[in-house]
Amino acid sequence: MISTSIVDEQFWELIETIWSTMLNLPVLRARALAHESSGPAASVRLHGAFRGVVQFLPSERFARRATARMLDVPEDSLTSADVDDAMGELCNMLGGGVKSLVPGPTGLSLPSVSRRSRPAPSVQRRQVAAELRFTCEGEPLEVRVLNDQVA
Amino acid sequence: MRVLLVDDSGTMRTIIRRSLRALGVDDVVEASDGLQAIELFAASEFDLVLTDWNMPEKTGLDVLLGIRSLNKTIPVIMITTEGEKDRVLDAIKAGVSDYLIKPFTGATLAQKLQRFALPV
Repeated sequence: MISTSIVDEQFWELIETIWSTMLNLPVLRARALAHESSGPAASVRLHGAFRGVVQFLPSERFARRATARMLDVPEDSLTSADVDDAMGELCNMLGGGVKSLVPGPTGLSLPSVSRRSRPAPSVQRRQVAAELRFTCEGEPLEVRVLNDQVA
Repeated sequence: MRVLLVDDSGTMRTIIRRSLRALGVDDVVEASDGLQAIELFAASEFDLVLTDWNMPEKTGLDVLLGIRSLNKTIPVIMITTEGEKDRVLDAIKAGVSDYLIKPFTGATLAQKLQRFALPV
């Protein structure tokens, strides 16, 4: 049974690079965050030597603010499709980075985005390979890497 | 310079188009999927193709193969994530000219374009 723990610092470095390049915004690690009850839930699946999912759970406020910044448009001009696409793309980059940190060969799915109306479900029957909570401009963000193979 | 930009993400097309504009490249034709990309390429002249790798239906590799069946020499740059770098060998065998790993900066994009003597 494969147990993969992604090195915390490598994971954090990945997040910092993506946020710096795509948004030119700093991120701060957080030990605990108040869970947002709604917002986009973006994910990409990893398949192959490592089977699991990368989840990106931003607050709604961050999602809209970041999308406006990426598209260089006013926030009030955004559609939900714009926000979902932008968050999916951030998750895609996170997934690509994670893929380079897990055993290979491992493939990457296309990102998918859904809307959550309650706090993200607790991860049961899955091993958490990595989990980082952080803030960006005061907004809570969470990224998880879940291993399908039960610990 | 006329660029064909292929990406299923509208966000990425916007960002890349903005980076190209900052480099003085304004003539950019966008395709949101691989099939549209090949059709556009067959119908018009381009100086460069930038294509995402991971797309539904037709991947960037499919786009590359389709373009190479029509033109052996046009620069085709594959856009991929860090983790997909290992698949670049497949793209090299299919005739890709170079690759860009996202996220990438405007400076990196400029370096890639200049490598093919494209004025930026």
